[in-house]
Amino acid sequence: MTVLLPTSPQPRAVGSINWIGLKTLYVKEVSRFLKVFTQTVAAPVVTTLLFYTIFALALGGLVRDADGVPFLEFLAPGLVMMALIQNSFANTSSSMVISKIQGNIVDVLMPPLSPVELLCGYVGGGITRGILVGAVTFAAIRVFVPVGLHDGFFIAYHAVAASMMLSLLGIIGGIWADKFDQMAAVTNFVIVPLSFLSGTFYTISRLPEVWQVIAHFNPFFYMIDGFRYGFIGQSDGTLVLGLFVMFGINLFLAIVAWRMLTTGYKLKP
Amino acid sequence: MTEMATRPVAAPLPPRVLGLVNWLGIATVMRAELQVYRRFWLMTVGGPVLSMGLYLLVFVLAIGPSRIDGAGDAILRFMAPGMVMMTLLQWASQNVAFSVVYKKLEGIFADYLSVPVMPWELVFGFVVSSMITGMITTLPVLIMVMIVTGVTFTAPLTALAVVISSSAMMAVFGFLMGLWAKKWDGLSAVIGFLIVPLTFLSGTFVAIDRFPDWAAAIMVVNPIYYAVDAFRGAMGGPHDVPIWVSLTVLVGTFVVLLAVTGFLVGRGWRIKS
Repeated sequence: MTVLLPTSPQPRAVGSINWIGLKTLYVKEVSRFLKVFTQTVAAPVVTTLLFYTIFALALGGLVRDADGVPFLEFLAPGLVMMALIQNSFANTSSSMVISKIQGNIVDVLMPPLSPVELLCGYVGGGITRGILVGAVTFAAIRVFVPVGLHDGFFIAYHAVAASMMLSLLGIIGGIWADKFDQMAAVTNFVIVPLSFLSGTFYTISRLPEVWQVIAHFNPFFYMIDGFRYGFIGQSDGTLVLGLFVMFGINLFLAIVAWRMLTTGYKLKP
Repeated sequence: MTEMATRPVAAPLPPRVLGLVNWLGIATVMRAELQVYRRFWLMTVGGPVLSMGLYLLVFVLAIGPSRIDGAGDAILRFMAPGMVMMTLLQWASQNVAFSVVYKKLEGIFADYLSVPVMPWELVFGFVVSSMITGMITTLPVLIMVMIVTGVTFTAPLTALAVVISSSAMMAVFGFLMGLWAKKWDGLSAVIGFLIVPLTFLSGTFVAIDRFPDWAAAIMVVNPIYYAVDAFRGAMGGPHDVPIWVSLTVLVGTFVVLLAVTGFLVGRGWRIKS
């Protein structure tokens, strides 16, 4: 008589890329923000629309056009971009800090995921939220103001590059910060000022010379300028330079974040 | 045994006699609130100053060269009181709301219910603390706005009355929000979908006659509109509503909210299971 023993589960062979692990992390990151979408998608959209209305009403009579484009059409892409980057940053940074404080970061570090896969999963979640918020905001603005489309490549490139850059910054900031108030400090004192002073609300060409030079050192200027070019066909800066700047910064930040995950800086004891 | 008996025993403290009002209790509630505020001063004072500074800078830069002809200056002078009020009202409501939700989630709120503090004393302590912290947060913003735009007070006493009544109103409302919210998402939903729209649609940046009719209709029933309008009047700007009407609206709303909140806390609504 033979006893049929159940075959014990075999170790799963992981190829050069752990697709299942990557997908699991990405789905976890996306469902994390979708679960509270009123807070993570609807609220930012409402706030951005309010901003748009107020700026339009407050300045619309005075600043009729910027760079030869009606002020409302000039303002829309900048505000969409602002919503996009702030939400990309918020997604990865809050995910990191919360996981660290609650101690469940080990559940992400333990599974067979390489630093590159970890990075891709987190950044993917950040990009998804940023672009989702940006797209919904744009669709809502489009109902009221006929913003044109000029160059789809620039829109797509800068949307992805900007949300990726801020997702990476969110990961770096989230790994660095030990507490929520440190994270809030980074948001309030670094991210918000850089995005406010990036030329979202005015054209750089109208600023005094010193401010123009300073503005060109702000990476946020290139993403907003290039993204806006995709809609209105007008640009303040050098468009090709903008593409390279965004690529370079993303590469640099990705290496920094990858190093942090590889060495376990502030993550592993 | 004998050794134990000879050890001096401290006489038990006599029970403290409470008068009509437990002043020590109120002071203790307030001390706890103010300590938290002081510990996070970078976020509670530095953050608002910076964000209002950014608003101001962006407006100055966006208006740009047209400042020279006076129209831009007029817009900035119009916005100045609105920005001050916006800071005051947002912080007066948020400080207390965050504190209440935090205490509820951490289970600390029970500590407040088990001490001899009456519901109204509890509300009073929280509300006055939030008014004070809101004013401290707003003071640097006020100074900055006054320096940049050159606006000064023409009726300081009116301004003071508006500041006290409106921050009291918003602090009670903040307490109510905190009481209502079961979790952080609940609170951020009220802030995102009620407080922020109401502060934006209150004439902070734009005069009411420039809004479409439906928005103007919302503004007229929005108490924050009266706070901003009266405060602008006290800073020498144009205002639509007589000051005494605005003050009546603010004090009236405060009294109604206070009565509701006191009643709910007394019933233990959302505090006791």
